[in-house]
Amino acid sequence: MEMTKTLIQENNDKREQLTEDNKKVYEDFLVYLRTDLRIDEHQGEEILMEILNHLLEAQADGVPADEIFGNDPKSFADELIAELPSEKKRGRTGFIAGQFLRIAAFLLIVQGVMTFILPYFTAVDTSVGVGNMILLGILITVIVLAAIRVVFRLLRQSLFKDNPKKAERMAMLKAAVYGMIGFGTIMAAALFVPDFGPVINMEWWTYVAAGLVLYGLSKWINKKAHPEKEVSEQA
Amino acid sequence: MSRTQLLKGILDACIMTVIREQPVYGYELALKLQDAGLPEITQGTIYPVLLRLQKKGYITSEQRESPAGPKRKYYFLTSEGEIELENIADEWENIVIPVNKLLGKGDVNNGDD
Repeated sequence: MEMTKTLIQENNDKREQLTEDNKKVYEDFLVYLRTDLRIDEHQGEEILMEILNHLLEAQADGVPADEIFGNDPKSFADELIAELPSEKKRGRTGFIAGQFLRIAAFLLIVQGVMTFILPYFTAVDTSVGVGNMILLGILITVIVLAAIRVVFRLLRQSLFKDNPKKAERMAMLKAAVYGMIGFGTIMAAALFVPDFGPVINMEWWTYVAAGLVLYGLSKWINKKAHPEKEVSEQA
Repeated sequence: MSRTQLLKGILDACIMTVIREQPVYGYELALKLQDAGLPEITQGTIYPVLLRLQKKGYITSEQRESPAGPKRKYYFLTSEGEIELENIADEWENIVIPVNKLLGKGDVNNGDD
């Protein structure tokens, strides 16, 4: 079985052989499939490659893309998605747990660096409410996951449109509004929620060390959740 | 009802029949269906069907070098697929013969055949 990464690379190379018009339809189709989080990634890439091959051959025979996608490419894509096997639960749980750990690690490292640097400039209280730290970690994870969903949904709504520029602008505008709401929520929680839970006061390197441990853990979980493939950063 | 809609129900059997004759890859399959006189199906519609047939175990696929060109995914009929195809063919006959009779006759109520 070919690796998912190899398939994505091959797809990137081959796509360049498409004509301008065919490429536009195919890339909308590709983004629509890749941003559907229910689909098993490898299976999705396999069918994308198969249809790309089909399209290239049809192109060589002078057959236009709508012979393949029909006059409603979106419902064709939906029909295909309905038949594709969905991502394993393990993969999804692993993804969420990994995100949470990575964010917690980031917070701890920032806390450590601040605890180290700030006292040089100003007299600060470096004690931390454990409750607040956990609350913030959970809140950011939820918002980051929600943001991924929202961005993907906005992206999907802008596909298969006759006027892609306009659809894109609308999507950007909506993304900005949602972004501000999310960021505002996090800031409000950080500033206005009073300290609760045990209050600790530790050396700066303790935070950094704890952060690094959590980061390593998140890497490990990612590997476990996706055994035979690296997690690709490509959208 | 359009011809396309009528076709959809029986497309599974058409595709399995083509694959039984000889293992094919996607584009080849689409051309063979068109050559068989079904030019109205959009070529892409074969892919959801192929996925469904694979899930049910009626066909399998394998990457192979094609005579001319790159590696392609070829589809094969399994023994379960052979049996299913026989079943569909029987069912089809059970429908087609009476329907032909019915439609050919026009007014059903007056017939005493």
